[in-house]
Amino acid sequence: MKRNNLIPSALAFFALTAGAVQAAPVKINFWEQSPPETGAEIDKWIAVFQKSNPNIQVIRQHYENEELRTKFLRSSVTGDGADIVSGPNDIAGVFATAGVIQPVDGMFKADMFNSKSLDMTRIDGKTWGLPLNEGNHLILYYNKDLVKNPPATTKDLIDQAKAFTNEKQNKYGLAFFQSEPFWFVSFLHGFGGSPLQVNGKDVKVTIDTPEMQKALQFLVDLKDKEKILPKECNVDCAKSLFLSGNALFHISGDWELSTYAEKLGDKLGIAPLPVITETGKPMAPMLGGLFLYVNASTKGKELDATRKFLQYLSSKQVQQRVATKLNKIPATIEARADASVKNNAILNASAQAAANARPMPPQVEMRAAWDGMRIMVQRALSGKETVAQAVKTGQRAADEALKGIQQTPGKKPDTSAAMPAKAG
Amino acid sequence: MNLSTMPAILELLKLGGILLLLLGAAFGYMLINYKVWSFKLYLPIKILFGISLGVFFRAAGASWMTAGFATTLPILVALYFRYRLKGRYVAAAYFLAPAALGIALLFLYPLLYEFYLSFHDLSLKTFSGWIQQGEAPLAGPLGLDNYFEVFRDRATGQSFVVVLGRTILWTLVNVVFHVGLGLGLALCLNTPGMRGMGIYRAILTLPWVIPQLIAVLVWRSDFNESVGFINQFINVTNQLVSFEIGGRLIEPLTWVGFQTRSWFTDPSALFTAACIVNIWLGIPFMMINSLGALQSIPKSVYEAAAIDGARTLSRFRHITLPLLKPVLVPASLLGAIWTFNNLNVIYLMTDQGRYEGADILVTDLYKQSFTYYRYGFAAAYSFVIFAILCFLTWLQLRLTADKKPEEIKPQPKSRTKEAPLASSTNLSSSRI
Repeated sequence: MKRNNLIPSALAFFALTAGAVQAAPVKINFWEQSPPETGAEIDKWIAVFQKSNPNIQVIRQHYENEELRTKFLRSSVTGDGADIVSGPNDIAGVFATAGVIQPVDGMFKADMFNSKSLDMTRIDGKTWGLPLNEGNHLILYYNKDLVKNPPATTKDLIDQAKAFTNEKQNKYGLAFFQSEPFWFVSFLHGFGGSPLQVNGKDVKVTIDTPEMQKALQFLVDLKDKEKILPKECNVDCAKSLFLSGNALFHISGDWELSTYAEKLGDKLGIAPLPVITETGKPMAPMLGGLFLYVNASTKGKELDATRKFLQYLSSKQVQQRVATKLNKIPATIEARADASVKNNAILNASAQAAANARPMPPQVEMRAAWDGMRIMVQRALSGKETVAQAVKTGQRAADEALKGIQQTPGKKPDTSAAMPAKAG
Repeated sequence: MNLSTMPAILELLKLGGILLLLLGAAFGYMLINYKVWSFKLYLPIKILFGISLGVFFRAAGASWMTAGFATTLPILVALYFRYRLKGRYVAAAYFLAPAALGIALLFLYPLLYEFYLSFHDLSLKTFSGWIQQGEAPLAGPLGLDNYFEVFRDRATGQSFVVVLGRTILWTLVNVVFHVGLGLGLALCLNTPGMRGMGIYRAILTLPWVIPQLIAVLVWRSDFNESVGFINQFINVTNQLVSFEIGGRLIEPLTWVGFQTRSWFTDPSALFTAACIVNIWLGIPFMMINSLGALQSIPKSVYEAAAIDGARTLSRFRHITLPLLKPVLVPASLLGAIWTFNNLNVIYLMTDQGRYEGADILVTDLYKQSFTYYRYGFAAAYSFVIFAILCFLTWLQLRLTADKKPEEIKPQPKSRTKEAPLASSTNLSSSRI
């Protein structure tokens, strides 16, 4: 190359390179913990988003639930980690307390969403997660061949269940994960109790209460007095009993909807949990869902791109697919009103069951409440302790656990304070 | 390619690159030290370098612990080169240097950092302060609160002593059954001229081949109280051997405890179930080890013993067992450490810690620490377990150590009776 051509060529090269650098897309990392089919669907959403936003590149990475929490917490120390992380609503308490996520209040219009959805990640008046869908609530499943009318009250349920139960033939009136507090809490709500008392920043675990005792006694009676429950049953056992026709009623989450619909077809019956006859109040399961959280150290261009992507995920286009492709209740009011969602029979039944559900408290103290209640339920069901003793043990265990997680009064860190800048 | 796999591959490549860079840096660093260690100003310069490195790390926001490590490492390397090595074994040290530095960075530093954390209150409530300032507050006035917390009684009635006792019982029961049944099966398989030995061996090794997770999950469903195989089997067996006397059903097997149990909600039953599963899983390892050792014992030794009139039991006691010892002792020691630290079986059998009453130290540590992200407490708990394991290993090594030749005192009585060859050999096994 001649010398006189060298300078213009070099200038042209630098100009082109500079242009390429300027046009380099903004990368946002998205970590999720969803099942593979949801992951595949999310990839489709990302592909559409990137088509209309060529300057933004969304990199999806899948992790298992607990691994995602731990890795996100760990990488936040160096200001690294994903810009967006998805997870259930109870993760909000952990992340917000650790100061690794930022509030999302300014990133969307609150009136787009069902208020229950937003309450599920609201702590100290701030919303920490953007809802993608609602769900994870418990539903009463039954086989239409065996049950003509689903029970409206617990008395009705017990009567039908007793008539069906035959222990020698391994047939039970009701099957569910009876020693797990996530199931028990539906009974508790029906008796007017609640595991957590939230009063601003003052959060207490309330296990040793008369309502808790009554609810627990009711559960123990279902097993020992009415004898409509198997002696012991977890998720898999309850599922197999129900699918094999050996359980008349079955309480499980909306996550089983697709499987049961596929296996039982038209025979599948879905109903809200019944009303507790004694109190006249409906059994109310906990309501959760899938939420999107934003890294506290995401700033500048990455934050703008993140906001754009979150807004896209709240659009009608994506929310409709949440309902039609993932069989989940969409989070936005607009998508719920859409005909394609309204005409989906299974989704409608699930939404009806969710109507009585209570948003699961996002506070980190709920972990202590779950642990306390788990010990309580197990000890009472196994007969190791009386109901009165078990609620006291549960309360003590929860109070002990609280010491490790609650903020020292007056020392609460400002979670919106400056964080190490995240490498873009 | 799937969108989600690309970042994982890139991350792996990045990690590989970092590791190579670290090794290269370690290699280069030691090479420089090797070239200049004999210079007069080597030591003062290295001390200055260490101090500046520590100050730099501290100024950059690192904790005192990290800064201290950065200060001491170059000084220690310099001291070693200057006073210890003195030109001897330089080539060996030079070759070992990258590995030594790798161990220092990847093992020693995390260990020291964990020790540092064990005196600090790093938990969810102090996490954000730690991210911002790089430091967590001391755990209590003396920093010992995490250690006190480990030994404190809990509301559920569990305490460290109870869990430790259960862990020791768990380890003992499992190792005794692993060794006993493993050795028994190996002896059966070692029978000369046995037909279909390969098939038996393949079947008996199956528990080892099946992934532990799958095996435990299958066992867990078998232990289900209502629909599990174990209780159904107990029921059917009891029905088969039951009879009626005067309208009263008599089930004799129940007198010896052969009856259905709530395997998950009854803590002692859960512990028993976990032991059964782990024994089942661990037998093949001991069996294969023992079989290998058995097959290496020369037949001539047994033939000689037979000529001398030794019976089967005597041959087993005086030939088989002593010659198996070099294999069985390390295998049992390894087995004991693995069992002591076996998180998988207990964690899965308790349905990820949902059911109480069967926790051993490691699962208790996991549950106590990571449900609430109590990192400081977890560090203290780990060090307590580490100390116990160190002590147990030392004890076992002491108890099972072979006496050195010079420690064996002459025994006049036996010496007179021994054959001339036996007195010149050291093998205890040669005395039949």
